[in-house]
Amino acid sequence: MRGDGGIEERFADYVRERGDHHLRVAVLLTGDWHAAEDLVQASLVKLYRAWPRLDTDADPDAYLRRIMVNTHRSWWRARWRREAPAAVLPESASGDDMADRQALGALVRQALARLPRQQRAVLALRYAEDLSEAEVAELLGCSPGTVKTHAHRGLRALRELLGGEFDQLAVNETRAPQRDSG
Amino acid sequence: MNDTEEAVRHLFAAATEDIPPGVDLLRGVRARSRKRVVRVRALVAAGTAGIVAATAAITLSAVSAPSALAQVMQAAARTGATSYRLSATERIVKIGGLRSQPWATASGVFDPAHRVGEETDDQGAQVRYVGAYMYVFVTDDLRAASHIMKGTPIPDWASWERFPSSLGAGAGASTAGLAMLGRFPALLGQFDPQDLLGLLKSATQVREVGPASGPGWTGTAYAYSAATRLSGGPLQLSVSSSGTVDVDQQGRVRRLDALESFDGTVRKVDITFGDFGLPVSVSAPPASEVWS
Repeated sequence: MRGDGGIEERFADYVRERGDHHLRVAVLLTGDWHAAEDLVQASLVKLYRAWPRLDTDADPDAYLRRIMVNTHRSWWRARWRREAPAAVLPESASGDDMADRQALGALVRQALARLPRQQRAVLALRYAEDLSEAEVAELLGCSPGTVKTHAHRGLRALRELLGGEFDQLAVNETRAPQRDSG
Repeated sequence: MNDTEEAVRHLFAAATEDIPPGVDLLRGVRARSRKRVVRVRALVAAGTAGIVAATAAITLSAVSAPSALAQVMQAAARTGATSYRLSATERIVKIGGLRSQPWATASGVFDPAHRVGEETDDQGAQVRYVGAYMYVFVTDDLRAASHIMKGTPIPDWASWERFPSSLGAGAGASTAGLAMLGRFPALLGQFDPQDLLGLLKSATQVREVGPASGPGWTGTAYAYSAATRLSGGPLQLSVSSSGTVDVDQQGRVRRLDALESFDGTVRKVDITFGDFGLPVSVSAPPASEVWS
């Protein structure tokens, strides 16, 4: 059990160290940076309330991840957040400069936003959080087989939305400098 | 890990690296814990023509200063109702079937109240707004595109093509722009600044990020995101925009730095507004040169 003294400071340290990581996952869930910020902040408030009760060996990432998934699900059901409709996506891309890379990022987020919520959540948790099918299934309250199906359909839909150059886009990205997304 | 999964990981990395400036999760968490929050849900109205208003969430602090959302929306409305000069750089970064276009530098003058305006760029594009119409100069690219697009090609004798214009005080994202898209969805070299200001009025998320200044003015910079859906006849268009907007002490938009997405196009645009209240005089091209 964490001591009372320094709880807030430990929580603040956690947010500083891991906040951006969860913000990046949240933007894949929501398709929009501002909605992602709202989701993460709302989830962090809930985590903060639970912080004193967390076991000393608990993984706050896992707690926050569950809170975010559940909060996003409830927002989706209530349609409290209107997610921006995505336009038709272009067929080609280049990754040569900052504007192109920003635009590519916007396109990928838009494509994700067009997927059904469950497919989006599975793709974000599998390929941005690197969770196993079993871990994703436990978070979403479904079977690993369902996770596999959502992943397969989501990947196929992304490929279709991003055009026939899906792999070319990724090849370009493998050549671009990579940031540590942790 | 197979190739597809590897590809998705790389694309997700690109999609998540450009965290907007001014995001401070810890400050937001503390603010949420302290402030009394009142959330108002605006109705979304859809019609077969005109503008669809975006759903907005407005957070009011315990201190009754205008919210960032209100500041930006008021600035967009105020700027869109006065005459101004603009200069801009823009680039169509992604476009269906075409590679990224080079940066273009544009300038123009607009008087929405009198429904006149003019804009030119260094790629040879010209647009004139006179009353109910928008006149687009037919460049070689536009003429060539008209021959490969569905519909009637621009005749050789025509130097201008005419479209309906909704340029007017307080006009928002316009069906005129939509009409242009209907003809030339891949060649939007011009933009109607009123469209962009109108899009600001549909902002759903606005956050103050710091001070802003320019020659002869100081003010505040805001980060925003906005989305709306346009309907005009058989055409439907979803438009979204995000970026930063600088508002001066008089509550006018001074700069708009945005990434816009619509109809398979992603456009980067950086516009400065100034010379508010200047007189604007624009004439329509000779009727003998205009095709509609």
